[in-house]
Amino acid sequence: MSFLLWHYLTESVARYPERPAVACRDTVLTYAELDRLSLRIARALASAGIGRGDRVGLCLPKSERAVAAMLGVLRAGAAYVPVDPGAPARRGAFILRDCAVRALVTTTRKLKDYREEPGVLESLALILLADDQAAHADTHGVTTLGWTDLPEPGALKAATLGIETDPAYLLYTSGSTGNPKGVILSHRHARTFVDWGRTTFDVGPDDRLSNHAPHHFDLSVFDIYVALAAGACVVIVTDDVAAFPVEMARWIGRLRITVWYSVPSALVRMLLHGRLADQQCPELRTVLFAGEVFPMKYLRQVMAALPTAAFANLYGPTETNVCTWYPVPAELPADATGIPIGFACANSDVFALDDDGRLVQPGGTGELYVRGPTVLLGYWGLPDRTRAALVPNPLQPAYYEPAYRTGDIVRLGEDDLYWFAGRRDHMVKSRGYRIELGEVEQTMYQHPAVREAAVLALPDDEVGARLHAFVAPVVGVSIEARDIHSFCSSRLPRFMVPESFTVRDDLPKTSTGKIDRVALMNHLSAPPQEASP
Amino acid sequence: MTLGPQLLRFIRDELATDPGAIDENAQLIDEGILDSMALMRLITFLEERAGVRVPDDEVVPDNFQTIASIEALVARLQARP
Repeated sequence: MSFLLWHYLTESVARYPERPAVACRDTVLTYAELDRLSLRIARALASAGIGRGDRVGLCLPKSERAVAAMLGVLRAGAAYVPVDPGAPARRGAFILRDCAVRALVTTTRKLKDYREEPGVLESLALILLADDQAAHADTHGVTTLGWTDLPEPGALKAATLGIETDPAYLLYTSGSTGNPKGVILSHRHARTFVDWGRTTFDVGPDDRLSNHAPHHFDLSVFDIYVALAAGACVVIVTDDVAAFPVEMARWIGRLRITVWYSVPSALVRMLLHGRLADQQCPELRTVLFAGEVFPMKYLRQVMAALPTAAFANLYGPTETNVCTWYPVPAELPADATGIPIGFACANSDVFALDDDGRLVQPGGTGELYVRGPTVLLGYWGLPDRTRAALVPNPLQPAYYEPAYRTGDIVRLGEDDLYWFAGRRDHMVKSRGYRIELGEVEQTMYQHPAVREAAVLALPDDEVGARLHAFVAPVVGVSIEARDIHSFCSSRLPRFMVPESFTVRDDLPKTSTGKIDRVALMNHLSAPPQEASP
Repeated sequence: MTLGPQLLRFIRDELATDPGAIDENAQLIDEGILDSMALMRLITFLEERAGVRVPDDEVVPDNFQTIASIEALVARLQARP
């Protein structure tokens, strides 16, 4: 019976043991090899007493080993928590402590950073280092294995087998109160999405799927698990390739990718800086994008540059993975100024309610709700936040059924297609990443010399939004923009660090005494009076 | 100030997540300091401070491995007619 996320692997290994499952740089693992490696990891975890009800942190660069680690954690019965290896250790440490991981898969280099963070290593039962060197470093007495120390594969106790509503992974997203929050997703959640994706885009064993998104970003769930479910190969884009647009654009054809999935800004970057139209990628048949609005002028150009591919817009917050989608017509109408987020995926339901709680009819606008197996289990350790987001379905009072409030405002077209129309709150998107402006502001307030702080997002066609910060110092104290910049860089992931910092004696206020964001926005839009460093 | 120290300061202050660990010999790509976001900001910095335009074809890993390789790239671009 197949109901857990890793069952995709064991089903495909039975059918295609010698076919490639995951490729990264010069390494290719077949299904048989991936099966064996993930089982060795599962046994190492099980031997350390880790299993159902536990969480395991994964903080390592994208690689075939990272994919094997995810599967190993799942096979041990635990849930994995991917942590951005490029983010400051302080933030990673918060996440690992917040959900009390019992084991950590990382690299020798990252381990050094975490050793400095209190309360991270002490509570672990096992550290597994994904590089070959077995650590002889001080790990506070925690059992530490190098990759070559992994035990041989063997049977796992049946007790490790979970059920489909168990957590499979936690993804941390920006939180408005100053700390990231952990979205808990179940096996059933992921499988509902993966089954939809595999069927809708007809993915088979000959396909080669790109994995462009980082593993702490839910786009990677499609890449990895749709490939495994179909017996296809997932080909990992390493960070050094992703950073260089010309390399990235060449890579698609060179690696014979058939299905590409990324945020629009990754495609736009290849278009503007990677000579995308000059590349040969005849095998590319499907291009999926999600995470942000695709500016029409660039979408048209990217479609013209990749003429063999059909395009689709996928929409959904991390809390529901993808819940609606829209196949982009090959011939976009000349007067089209945007594309919709479309209609509900199979086995998901969406609806919108207006401010009075009434169901939105075609032509109307309201907040989008999602119900069905893809919605989150909750936010880790945040029952109030969970209750606020996961509400009893307002359209169906007869029995309890949760519906997720997305906070996204949508318009329902006359053709029954939904269109994204904005946010209820201060969340913005940059390069597909969710950013709560409040989290950035709260971080600046932690600086002892900051009295007032505001962060504004200027819309930008290439990356979605660019952040600009304004700060006022504590009276009698002088601060430099550079200091606040470094302060934020050592606490926030790069996509959340504002691009400019302006120091003022006071920030402008509205008549109610709040920081006047409109005045600050006008200042940003006006030609610069003084250069900020 | 020549470009090298300015570059180091810019990378430390504006790009790095762990500023203390970066010196003039840092392996910028291998150590994960230059990702796509950081690289875009670095190119803007080079274009503003060194007055060069960095063509897309020059934005390749070989030219950005270390501070010295970036300096060499800028020198080469400045020497172009």
